[in-house]
Amino acid sequence: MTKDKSTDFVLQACDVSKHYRTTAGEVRAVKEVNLRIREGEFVAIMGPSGSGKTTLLSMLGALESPTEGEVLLQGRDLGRLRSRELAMLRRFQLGFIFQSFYLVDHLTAFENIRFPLGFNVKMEPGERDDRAVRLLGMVGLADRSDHFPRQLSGGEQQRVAIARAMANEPAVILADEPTGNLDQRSGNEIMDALEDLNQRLKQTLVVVTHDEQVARRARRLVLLEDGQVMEDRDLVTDAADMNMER
Amino acid sequence: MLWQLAVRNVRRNWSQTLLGLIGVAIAAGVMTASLSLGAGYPEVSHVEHRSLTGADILIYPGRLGVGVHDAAEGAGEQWRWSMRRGEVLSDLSFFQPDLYEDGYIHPPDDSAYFDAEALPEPLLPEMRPAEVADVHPLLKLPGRVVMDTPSGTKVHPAPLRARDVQIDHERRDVTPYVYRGRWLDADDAGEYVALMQGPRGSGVPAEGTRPQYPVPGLHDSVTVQVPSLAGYADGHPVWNWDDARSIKLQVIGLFSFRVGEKPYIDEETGSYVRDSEGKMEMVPKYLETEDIFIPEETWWAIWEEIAPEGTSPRAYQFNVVLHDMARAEQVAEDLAGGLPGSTVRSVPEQVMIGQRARGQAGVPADMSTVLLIAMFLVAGLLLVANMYVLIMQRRKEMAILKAVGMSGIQVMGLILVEVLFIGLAGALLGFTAVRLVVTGVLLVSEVTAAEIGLLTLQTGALVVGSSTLMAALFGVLPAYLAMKQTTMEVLRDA
Repeated sequence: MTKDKSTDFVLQACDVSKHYRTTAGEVRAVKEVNLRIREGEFVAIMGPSGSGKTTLLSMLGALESPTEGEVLLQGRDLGRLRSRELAMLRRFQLGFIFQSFYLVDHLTAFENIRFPLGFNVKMEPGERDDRAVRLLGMVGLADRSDHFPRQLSGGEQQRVAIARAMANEPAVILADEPTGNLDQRSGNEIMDALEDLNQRLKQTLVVVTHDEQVARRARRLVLLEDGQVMEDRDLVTDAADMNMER
Repeated sequence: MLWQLAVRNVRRNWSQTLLGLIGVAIAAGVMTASLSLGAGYPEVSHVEHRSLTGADILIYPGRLGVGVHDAAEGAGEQWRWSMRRGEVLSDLSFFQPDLYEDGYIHPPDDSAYFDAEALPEPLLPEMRPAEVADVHPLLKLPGRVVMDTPSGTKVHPAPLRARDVQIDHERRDVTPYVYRGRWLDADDAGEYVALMQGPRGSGVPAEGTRPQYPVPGLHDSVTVQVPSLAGYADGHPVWNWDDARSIKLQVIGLFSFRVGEKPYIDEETGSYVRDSEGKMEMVPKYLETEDIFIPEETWWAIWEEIAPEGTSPRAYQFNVVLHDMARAEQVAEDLAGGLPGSTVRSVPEQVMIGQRARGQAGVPADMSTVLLIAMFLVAGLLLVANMYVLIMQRRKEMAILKAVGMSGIQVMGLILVEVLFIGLAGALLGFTAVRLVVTGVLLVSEVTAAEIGLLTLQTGALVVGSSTLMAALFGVLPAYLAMKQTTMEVLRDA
């Protein structure tokens, strides 16, 4: 696939592959994946365990570099960036949500959200505090501000993680199995929150999941199998077609 | 943000922090003790020299102490330095063994001597520094020992030196240096008794040979010829050997520098013999002069006999005995300020000069440095090990911080700040603990509060600065490891 340096696509993966060397030999986790994500899209990447979902997501999020191919964020080739520039991208352009929440244990909910805001030198300390409070309120945890992660339920921790990912208003939020460690109710709440972000704030979302219910909330579904894209479907059009058929 | 997070981590990982902190504190404590002792005067330092000289600080008139190698023969006005003829009246040679070879030293600038009966102004009791307990002139007279040996009559130079018996017993432990007989005691005051030492050099004596010096048990007494004093010329005494007095002294003991290497002498034959195991023991190393120690009172009695009536002896050395060893270097400095033109040296300083002249390093100073470096290495390794364990435990946290935007350099900075905090706290802890004890000692030693304060600040700055620097240096490795961790690999493991 040819790469498009225009900003029509916020995130692009061009012939991206990732190989690992293990004691058992070389593992080809992702094979020549091509993906273009527009601003405001809500993309679900689905596939069975070991299909390369998380590896693809980590490459899209500049946490790992591809063995082959290129990843472009707003037209910038991530492979050409220095570690400091990548750190800047993770601060301001990318937000991460992990299956295991990955909050800093010894920081309160407020501090976990406030932490990435500390990188934003354009904001006054007071503004950063206000924004952290607003984000806590947005995810419905205004009254849990001083609680440490261990004092919060799984769903609450994930909501803190969403607020943290939102802190610096990133171009893309990447979520890896955001409901994987949650019960049905909490999972639905988290997906409601993410869906709301996408619809209300036009936040670009890429969610990796193996849960069909979660995937169905997205507007586009990418099916990954054995490291390759098997299907890339527009769920909105599908739904419209189904309605037409009815 | 970095600082806040680092402090929180230090508090959170308390057990590891404590281990690292103790390591640094011990190193800082050792360094504080070492520096504090350096400012004072280690009690054990150069104990042999101090005991046998009977002084902690030596004062020479004029500028003495130039090694023979530095002085060209015949260049300018020089003093001839000749040990073997018994012309040496200073104990300087005790510490500058080079001088036991004939040579030259620079003459004093103006005054070649002190009046032994009139202390120079800065040494008067009312003007002495509080720490200085006693000042007394080194009293010496030239002498020659005459001994009848199987190979004929032997005469060798052996100056008579006055010992202050009270100081010897109260301030010094002189007994280890006596290997035959006993040291002088209070009852010997005014008595014609002598404490002898053997000839110079060391080595294994030939079996069957006889000692060439008086040995108590074998020789009850020794005859010493002492010249009469004809007067003074150019500030120097003129000795008249034609009018020498023969003074008989009862030999009460032998002393040597080294202990435990006593020559085995058969009491019946008076010769060196092998012991029951067939071993021939080493002859102990003797002082570089062949002084005969006599009680001070006896010395004055001999002086009355050989000097014209009313003549005051001249002192070519003053010995200062301190009440307390702390701050001896400072006292020496103060005295030097009060005695311009004189040479004032602490005994360790003088010993070091002698050692350097022989190309030897000061062993105590070296050991102290080696110990200090070893302590810092141990503390540093402890810190590295702790931080490494800590970083391994906190891999997930580091990965999260990187995922939300921290750069590798910032992660490294975070670890370094933590290490620096441990280093700083440990250094302050170690320094404070040891310095408190030292300050107590200094207070008892009547050192002024202002001086203690200044010294504390100086030592503190040095200890805290170097300990923190050490922590920073040793912290670089674990911090680098933390920086290099890949976020995704860590998160996968977690």
